[in-house]
Amino acid sequence: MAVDMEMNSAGSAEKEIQGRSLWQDAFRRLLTNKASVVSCIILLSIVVIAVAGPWVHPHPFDEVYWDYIQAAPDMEAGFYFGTDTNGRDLFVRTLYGIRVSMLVGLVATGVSLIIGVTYGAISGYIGGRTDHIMMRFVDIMYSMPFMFFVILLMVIFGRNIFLIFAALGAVEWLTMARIVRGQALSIKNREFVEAARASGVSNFNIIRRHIIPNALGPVIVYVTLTIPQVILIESFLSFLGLGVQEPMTSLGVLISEGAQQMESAPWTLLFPASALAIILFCFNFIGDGLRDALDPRDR
Amino acid sequence: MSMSQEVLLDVKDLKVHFSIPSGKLFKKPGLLKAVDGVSFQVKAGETLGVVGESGCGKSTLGRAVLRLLKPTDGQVAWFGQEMGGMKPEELRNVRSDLQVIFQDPLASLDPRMTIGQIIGEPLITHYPKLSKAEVKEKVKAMMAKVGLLPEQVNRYPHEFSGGQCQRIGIARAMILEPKLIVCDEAVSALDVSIQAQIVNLLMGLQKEFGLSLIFISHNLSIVRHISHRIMVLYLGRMMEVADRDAIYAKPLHPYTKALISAVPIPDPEIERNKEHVALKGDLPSPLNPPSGCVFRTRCPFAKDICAAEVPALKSFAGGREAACHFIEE
Repeated sequence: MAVDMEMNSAGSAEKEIQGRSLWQDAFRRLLTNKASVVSCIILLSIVVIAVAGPWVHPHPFDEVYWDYIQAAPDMEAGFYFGTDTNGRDLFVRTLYGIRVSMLVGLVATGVSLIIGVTYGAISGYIGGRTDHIMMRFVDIMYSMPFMFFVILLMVIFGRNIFLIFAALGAVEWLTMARIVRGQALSIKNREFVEAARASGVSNFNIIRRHIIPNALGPVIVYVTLTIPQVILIESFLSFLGLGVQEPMTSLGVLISEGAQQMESAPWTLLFPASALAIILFCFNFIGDGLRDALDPRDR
Repeated sequence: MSMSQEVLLDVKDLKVHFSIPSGKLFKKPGLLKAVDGVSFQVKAGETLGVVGESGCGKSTLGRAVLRLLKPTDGQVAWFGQEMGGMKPEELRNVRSDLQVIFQDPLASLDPRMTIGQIIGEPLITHYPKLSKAEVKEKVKAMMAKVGLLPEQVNRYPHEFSGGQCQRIGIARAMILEPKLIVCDEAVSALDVSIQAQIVNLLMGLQKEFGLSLIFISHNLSIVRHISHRIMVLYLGRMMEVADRDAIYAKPLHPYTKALISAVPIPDPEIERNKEHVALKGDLPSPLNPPSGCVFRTRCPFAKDICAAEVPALKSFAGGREAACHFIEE
């Protein structure tokens, strides 16, 4: 929290007892959850390998090796995951796929987080008619057929990775807004918010200082569950041929291509699919751990 | 209390009505008159006790005075200036003089903030130019004043006991050195031994800063200890208001009589022999209050006139007022 930092850094000349915040408590509880900690470590290693790997690896992602068309994994030639039907190194292409999928997941979730939290907190805190209007708008957005929406965007603006960010963000923030609104509705009637109102704190500061930090627990959990969801939707779009464009790739594209060669070259499906599965598992375990850590009443 | 004192708060005919959805389509929503025509004044340095049963509108009254709720009708004037007509900035300025302490000590503190941030919040709201070090210094000084250890400034509310949390709430209310604090059941959630400490702390602060209190409670012994004047509410209406000693010595209204006779006296000899006025029945639904005098359904002296006419608030000697058809001096 920015507020925490501001206050804690001030005037620590005398000996002050440092309290333990609810966030720190939750973090300690998270560390006791083995599945989450292991998932965190695996996920971090995957990210490091995906980011640094292509620099170190001898084969570029878009070069065609005519001698190695659809070759099985070969350690000596440096094709750890084999090659695809066009003779490109599958290992480095999988790393690129992870990069793109993670980026889509993080950016789209980030967009949905910012829009959803702001929208939901304002709607829930102000309440009354404003709340009704804002939430009916969300309902209308919900009822739009998502695939149709994406295809329409693609037709109008052409295929573009930023469009995927925008499209996914535009859909994912709706649920976020509903979650935050529900939290805001219950928090705004708590006595500490009344105390803040009574001492003349502005609505903006009440939302920023009291509503959002207290609504953040369920939001963080939802974020860790949204990232894999977004990665899946992106893979699905790529599978349908609406995602990223060749020679750039994503896990969805790789899986789609691998599925066609499933019988003659199983490794083209196996490696990207396992990468996706591991990433999704990790996010889900982290999400689970966070939920337990942030809301100890449930255990 | 002498008459020369300055009137801080002047409430005239305050009404707060809520419309309650009936739950049925095409049926009119019910009207809950939580506070219905309450008038009183609070002078500088005095404590007004507000007593009554659960659901009689005590807390709603407090919230309406603080303008956390918009009154349906009536005036609340602060230093003679009507608060309903104030611009947002004017209201913000008044808010630095008008603070509140809530019933549930832990719920009234934001669990994500440190004690320093909680107590300092009104300060940074009204004096944004203060540096962080100055804010911290003032917060620590106030913490010492309410009996908290200043080095605990970076702790979080869940690390404190109920009584300590209430002290934090008091420190937050006192940090701007306000003129009036509304204590909404401020000690009801605490242990009896802690209640006494908190009440004495409030009385000490009142003496030191010349502050006025509106002390809302259903605990008549504590109200008697802390208040200068006492107002009795029943179903959102005023029954009686008088100086503390007068009201306990000779309650005028039958409801006040019943309330005061219900206060236990810590001497079994006296307690056994004293006259009890037991009230029959339950509090009527505030959605459908009795006609005329709202207390008539439980009043031992009710006559026909009570159902027909609402008794007006009449003045009696010693500046006391009561609303009953049958009070003679």
